[in-house]
Amino acid sequence: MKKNMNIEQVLDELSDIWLGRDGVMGVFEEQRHGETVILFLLKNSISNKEIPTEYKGYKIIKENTPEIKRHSE
Amino acid sequence: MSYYDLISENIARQHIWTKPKTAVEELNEMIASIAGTLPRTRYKLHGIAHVGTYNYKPLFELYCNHGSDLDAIRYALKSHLGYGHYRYVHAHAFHSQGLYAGQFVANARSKYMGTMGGYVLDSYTNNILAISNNHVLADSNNGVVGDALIDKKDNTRFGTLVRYNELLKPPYRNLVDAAAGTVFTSHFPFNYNDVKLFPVLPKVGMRVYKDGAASGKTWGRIISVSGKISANYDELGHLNFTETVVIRPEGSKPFSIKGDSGSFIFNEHGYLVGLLFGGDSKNISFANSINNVINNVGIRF
Repeated sequence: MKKNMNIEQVLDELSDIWLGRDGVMGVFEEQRHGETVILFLLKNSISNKEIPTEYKGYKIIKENTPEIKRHSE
Repeated sequence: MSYYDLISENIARQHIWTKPKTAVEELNEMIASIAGTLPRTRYKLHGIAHVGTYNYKPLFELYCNHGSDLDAIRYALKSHLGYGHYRYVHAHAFHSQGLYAGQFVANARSKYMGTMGGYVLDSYTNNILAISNNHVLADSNNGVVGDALIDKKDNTRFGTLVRYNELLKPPYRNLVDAAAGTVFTSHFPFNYNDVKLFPVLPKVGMRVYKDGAASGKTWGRIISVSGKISANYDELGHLNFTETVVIRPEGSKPFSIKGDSGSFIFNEHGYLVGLLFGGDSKNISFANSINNVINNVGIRF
């Protein structure tokens, strides 16, 4: 798949749209089988079908998480 | 006299750090001479004792600063002493007055606590400062410069809050969650050079560890240094962070859990790369890049 924008710009654009909205807790890249993909961290309880599966040539993968919290106790 | 003789049964069962200084010095020289071939790392071996046997092999206890590079120390000792088992004992177990990296700390006005990351120098005054998160030392923006900072080991005051980065609500994106406090001489029984840290930029693929007050030493790997995160800060609501270092745990144990906030994160050579602030206590942890902490808090090493 041809990637037509650098990853920092892609993350900026996607997080502008999605971060903090509809249960999206994180947007970042990860290497999967030698390919750079974009991970969307989603709250367990939310299943967002509007999130695209691909953006500017990068595959988007959704991952459920309990919750992202500060780590004091 | 061989090094094995030095720590033989004759001086075992007593703690060698109470023995004449020459013995400790010889051991430290031995460690330093071997570790000198490794990249400069943070470690401090206070003493070693032969405390018995394990599986028919001699069992040694190493008394080290919390956060020492144990792998380097163990490797060095094994190379010189041959076979044996090694058990690590935190220095603060016998040196209660000191505030060590990796201990629980808090702001006196806060009900929350986290981890003391480590020691740095104030860029403006050259004072020695202890570093952790805003939400640990400054009670998530509620702190006031001059607040008492508490060593939770014995609930004594160890110092004073001097600076923190205000945590801002969306749409603002935070770079760091950091705070710094001075440390009373009574809680700093070290030479600064023994606890001095060396920062490097975090990189994708880097193997890292932290030594948190809640979950101890755990290893992980950096998968991103440009993460965009929305984290739950309870009374402040969800806060956004950018340029976040994202870490996956190695193995099934989480890299960090509640109480580990404020831990410094090191690469496998002992260089400082980040300041932990959150995660999901399961598959993923988040940290501020150390260069952002340096630039935003006004510290040096």
